[in-house]
Amino acid sequence: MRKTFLVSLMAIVLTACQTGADSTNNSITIGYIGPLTGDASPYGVDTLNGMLLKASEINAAGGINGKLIEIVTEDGRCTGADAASAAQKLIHVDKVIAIIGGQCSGETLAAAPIAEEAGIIMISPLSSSPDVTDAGDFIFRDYPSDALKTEAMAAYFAEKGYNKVAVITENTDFAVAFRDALKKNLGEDALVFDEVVEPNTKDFRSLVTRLNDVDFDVFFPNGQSAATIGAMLQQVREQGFEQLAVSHDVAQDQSLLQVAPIASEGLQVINVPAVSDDSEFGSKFLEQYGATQAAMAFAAHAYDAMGVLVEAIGTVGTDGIAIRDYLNDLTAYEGVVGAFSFDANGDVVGIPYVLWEVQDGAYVNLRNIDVN
Amino acid sequence: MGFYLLHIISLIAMNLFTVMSYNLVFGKGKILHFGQLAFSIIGIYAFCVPLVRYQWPLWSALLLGCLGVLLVAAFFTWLSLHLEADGFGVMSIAVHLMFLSVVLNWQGVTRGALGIPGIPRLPYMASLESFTLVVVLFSALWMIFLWYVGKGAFGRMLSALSEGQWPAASLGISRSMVHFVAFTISGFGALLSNLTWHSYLRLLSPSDLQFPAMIFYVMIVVAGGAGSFRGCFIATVILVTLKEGLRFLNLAPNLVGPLQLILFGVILFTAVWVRRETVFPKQRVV
Repeated sequence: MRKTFLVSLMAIVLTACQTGADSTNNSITIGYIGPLTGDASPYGVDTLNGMLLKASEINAAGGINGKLIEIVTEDGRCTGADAASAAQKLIHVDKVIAIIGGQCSGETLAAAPIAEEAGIIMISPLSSSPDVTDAGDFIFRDYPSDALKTEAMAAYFAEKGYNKVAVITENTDFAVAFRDALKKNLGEDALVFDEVVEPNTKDFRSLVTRLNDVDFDVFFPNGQSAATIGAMLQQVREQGFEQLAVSHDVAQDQSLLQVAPIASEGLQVINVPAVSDDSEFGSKFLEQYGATQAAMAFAAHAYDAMGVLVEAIGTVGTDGIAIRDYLNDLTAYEGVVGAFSFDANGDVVGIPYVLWEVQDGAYVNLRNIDVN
Repeated sequence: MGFYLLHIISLIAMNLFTVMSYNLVFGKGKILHFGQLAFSIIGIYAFCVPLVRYQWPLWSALLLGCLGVLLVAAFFTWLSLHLEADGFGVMSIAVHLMFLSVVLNWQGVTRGALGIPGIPRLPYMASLESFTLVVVLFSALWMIFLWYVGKGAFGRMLSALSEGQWPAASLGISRSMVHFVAFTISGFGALLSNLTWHSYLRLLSPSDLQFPAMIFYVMIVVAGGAGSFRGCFIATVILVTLKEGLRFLNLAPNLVGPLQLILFGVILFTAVWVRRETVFPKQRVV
């Protein structure tokens, strides 16, 4: 038994000693880091498929200047520890010339110093934490920072005269960062009810009862998942509160409409533009990979992250510094999510915000919200 | 490949700090202690919060981290003296989760779930090469220290206590002193591990301090043979290498994550199953 076990271990160790694929004369290797297991895996699966779709299209068209793209995938498991190991392997073993990832902000923040030290470009299609802004010169993202999104939310509240906001926040890095950024934009006094609950909490009834003592204009269910936001909405409506509810990206999810079909009516969401299943990109994606696990927009952002990277490599080659400079000087990349560029910190510029409202069980685009 | 090997060597060295120290308490001392991460949380937050958020000098922050570890060691000692072995096991988990809850919710100070980015590399550890060199050197020194502690008078007192409290007391062994020293050593191992790890990542994320990390430590100690210095060392080297080595299996993109986790689960299960006899103390037969 022990001999068999040791032989098995040796076999895996020897396998581990094999070197991975690296960029050769005939191919260009690009890495992917994202959560492929665990609670955040729907985001990872969608962004990975979006990236793979773009790579397969480029390869079908002859590659980048005749070189085919090879993708090396690593599971970042939505933790800094795993993302750091993944980045070390991609950069030093697989010799990737760039990385699409991480997806969770913790992944991006942990992998960033490693990429930065090696001069390897990272483009995150999904990390929205304001901390990513200062992650380094080689770190870009085509998904807007929460800092900007909360500016849009604050501008909308100001326009409507909503001065008193009740917010319940799930204690996760995304939701807490969003709450903090909103508080910064609205001012401390605007959050007249500001409670944080443990991750995955589904029973808010006793908390919601306390809303009876608070005069508020708008309710902001700030959860990390559609199921949590659905439960918040359901229980707020059950207790007779009829104030407008406004939320963020996570609330634009078909499963929310199933979890709380009546309570979600009238919910407003401030989010990036959606990419519909009927769009050209949506149709291609559905044909290749089937329905998304989280949202088509996430896949589209990864598709565009890969697209802008390929454009940079095709123009200036595979040198990290040249790609960084190209991305910094970019005036506009026409992606499926819209035309965008990057600011001096690598944050995306040009992605508009859209105000959505749930009407008759569907998200309806009301209008764009401008942010300076 | 060279840099990645340095990365794996660093990972092993950083894990050895805490695993070998934990082996002293759980393996040699047979104390059902599952709160090793409580030391990690208090030690690393007491270090990082003043250093990064309030710009304290490095040595002052380090002193606070050490003080935090000593306080947690004293608390665990007090609990271990007042609870039955299994009760202490459950309570040690509760203490870990309590501290985790504090750092997740005391957002004004700890930034809660956001963690603390921008942790500087420790002195003489700026590059990966120098980091590996220093961490391996310190890890070796720490293990030499643990070897002497385990083989010396203290190790014999710990073993005697693990076999019987009253016979040990009749030999003049102070249970409270031995437990405090064991927990303190265990705590400093956790602190060393976390100081190097979070400085290496330049990020302190509370998601790295959740209970699954504790399960990994317990499994390494059990797989190595609880109490066995050499066994735990080898188990740490093999299991950390395998965990990373699974990244090299050539799998389809949609299978990479789940299959790696399943395979590692099977490896851990097998390793623990082989060593299942060593988990609980055996009475010596004379």
